[in-house]
Amino acid sequence: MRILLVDDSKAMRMIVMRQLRQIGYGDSEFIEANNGREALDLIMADAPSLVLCDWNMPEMSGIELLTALNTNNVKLPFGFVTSEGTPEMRKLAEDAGARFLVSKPFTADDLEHALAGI
Amino acid sequence: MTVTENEIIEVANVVWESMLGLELEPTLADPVLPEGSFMTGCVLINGAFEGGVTLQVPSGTARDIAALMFGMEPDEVSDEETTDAIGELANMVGGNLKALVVQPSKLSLPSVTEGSNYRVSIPGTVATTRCAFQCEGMPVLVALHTRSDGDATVKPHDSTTHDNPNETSARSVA
Repeated sequence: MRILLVDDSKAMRMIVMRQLRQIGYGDSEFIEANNGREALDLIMADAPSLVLCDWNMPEMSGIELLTALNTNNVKLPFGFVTSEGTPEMRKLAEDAGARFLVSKPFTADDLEHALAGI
Repeated sequence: MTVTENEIIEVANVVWESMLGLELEPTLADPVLPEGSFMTGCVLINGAFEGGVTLQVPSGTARDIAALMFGMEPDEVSDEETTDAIGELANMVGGNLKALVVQPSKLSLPSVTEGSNYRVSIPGTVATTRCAFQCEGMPVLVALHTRSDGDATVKPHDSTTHDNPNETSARSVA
């Protein structure tokens, strides 16, 4: 599985990667992007199997990235991992086609639960 | 809508336990950092609620925290990685506190400052709720700043205010 981690915090990308390995994604290939713009370029060049994406990022936010993917008719499993999880943001994410929204801080169990249906 | 001290304690504890595997113990001591270099992570909240959240730790503690987040030894982490780690912790604490204030409100990207004897002010706000913790014997301070109609700066003797404001940040990134 090829998993794209999008977060402007390298520390957070490391934590998500470590927890994904704990829950059985150790054989996956991880690619990383600092923001939505970098992620969009990576996805358009070679779409990954799964995208885990922060919401607030410089240059292009997570929801802007998801909207851009929809505009380009790119369909792939996309989930948010973000420090914000208000009902309004969850609805916005769901309406844009996100499969889940995991709030930071999170545990490996939270990630496992979110990814169960994917 | 007011964020209580208990809510800050709960949010900070969950962040520390989930992300660092460390216990954060609230203390009754004055929320004052010891002498020496310390780091401040800050996020602003704008919208129906206007204010911000600051998170402050001694620089040595910040390096230990970064090491835990990156899975490295403290002497292996770079300044950039330490800044990243403190910014992300401020982002998590701020994001969770933002959910407790009036909506709609928007969270800024974090900024991080490091240095000695500097004062942190979020213009137009005062530190309305402050909490002091101990983590592995070192102080951790968290404050919620709320827009005030009065004086725009954090008052002297607030947790984010230090005696000599002449020396300011050594490093500040968004």
